[in-house]
Amino acid sequence: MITQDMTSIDPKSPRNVMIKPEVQTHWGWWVVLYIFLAGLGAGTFLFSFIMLFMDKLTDPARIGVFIGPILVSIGAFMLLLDLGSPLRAFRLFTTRSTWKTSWLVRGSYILTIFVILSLAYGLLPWLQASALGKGLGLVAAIFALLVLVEPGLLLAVNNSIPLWNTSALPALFFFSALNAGIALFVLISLAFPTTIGVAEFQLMAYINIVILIVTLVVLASFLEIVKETGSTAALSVRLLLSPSFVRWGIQGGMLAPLAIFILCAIVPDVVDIRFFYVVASLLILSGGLILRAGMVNSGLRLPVIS
Amino acid sequence: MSYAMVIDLKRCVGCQACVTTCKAEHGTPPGVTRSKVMRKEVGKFPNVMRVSLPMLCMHCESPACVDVCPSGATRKREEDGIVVVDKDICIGCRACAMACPYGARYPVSSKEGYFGKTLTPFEEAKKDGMPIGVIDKCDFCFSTGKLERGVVPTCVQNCITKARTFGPREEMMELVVERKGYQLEPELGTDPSVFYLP
Repeated sequence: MITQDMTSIDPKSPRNVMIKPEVQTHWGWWVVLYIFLAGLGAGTFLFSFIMLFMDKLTDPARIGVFIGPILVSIGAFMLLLDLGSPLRAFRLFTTRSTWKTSWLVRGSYILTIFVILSLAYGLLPWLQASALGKGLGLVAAIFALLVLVEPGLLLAVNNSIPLWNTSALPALFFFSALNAGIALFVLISLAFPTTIGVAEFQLMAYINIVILIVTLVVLASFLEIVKETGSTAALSVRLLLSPSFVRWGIQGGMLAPLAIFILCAIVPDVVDIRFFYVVASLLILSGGLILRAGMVNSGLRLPVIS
Repeated sequence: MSYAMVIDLKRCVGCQACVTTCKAEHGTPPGVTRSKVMRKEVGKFPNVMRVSLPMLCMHCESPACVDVCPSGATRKREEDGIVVVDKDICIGCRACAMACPYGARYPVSSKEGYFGKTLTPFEEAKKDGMPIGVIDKCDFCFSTGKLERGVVPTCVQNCITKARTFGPREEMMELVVERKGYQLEPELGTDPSVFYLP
């Protein structure tokens, strides 16, 4: 086999890096916005559905199950705008067999099914209480889980970009998107001051604290795993951890909201909590966007060595 | 049968004739370089030398670009192993360009020619083959019908030092094994059909 012959390269001959690791330039802001909005929408729907299912915070949850698929649709539209030939996008659904290997095709099916099911669930409030409605919502929630991991998989399958080529990336995007979804849910909750009291806000604070801590642990593990996989990966991590990313993505987007939520969990004054919640939620949302932008824009390609 | 190309790096002088002839043959617009030559100076003074590495689509046996293509526009021809792009089907998602470890795929995005907005008669004649928004790449000159006529790709034809050899992979392998040739990035498992002789 030729791969065995390849090992017979003279070890004394110098190996030269002919193309240095370069940041990928093919995917930019449209893809970043898609990843962010798809995750945010699915996260909002999932959390809202869970709340409806548990019969808690039902007023904002009814809005959340409707807003979720709208955000995912806007995200999908961003991906459409990124295409060189958007009018041919129908081919994502008409080409047989490509779903076996392409995450773009799988993602298109997942997003479409999710949007249809979740919109049906969100737009028909009388359906939600019925067994059929609950079943529909449950299937939509399962597809929301898939929407949460699909953008990560879309990037992670590229083995020429070591920063992305790890199973930790879908996990990171999953928890980060869930976080953003809950943050949006909190912002929606602020529109219902009469029904959402201190106890409800504190419940959301506890959930946010747990998810934020998990996201931070996954992010730390992701960085630790990736930087040990090779020099290009280590370089990507250094590129990712720019001062502005650390300040706005990690400190501002994760640590500051975590501190605020811990504070909210112990402060009983609901008026103060609302103010802090707005700040923390907006920080989480901006942090989620920065995380994805950093991840896409720090994707260094492997060098070509001769 | 699969085609393969062998590039003798001892013969290559980095003259860019392959790049120029490819441009002339296919009329690729700015930003699209089906054939390119990477050059680098290595060593420490006074023992320095310039090394060249001609690059093109590797027409891999297990191409990463084919797997990620959502529309089926990219496929590996069973008849000759050439990886081709059907530009009437390509949706321009650039997933293949992301997946290709050799940077051999280029989105056609420039409406302008090499001399500005007004295209030269040559560019005008070639622009139908380069629609905006889709991917372009080397196809071993399959699209020009050269292979059907039994003619080798233009970069092989016009290499001034005859550094390139083209033919059925089985025949090329004899040369590769004899000269201890190698592939680029073999660890990625793509099994390229372009080999380099040290």
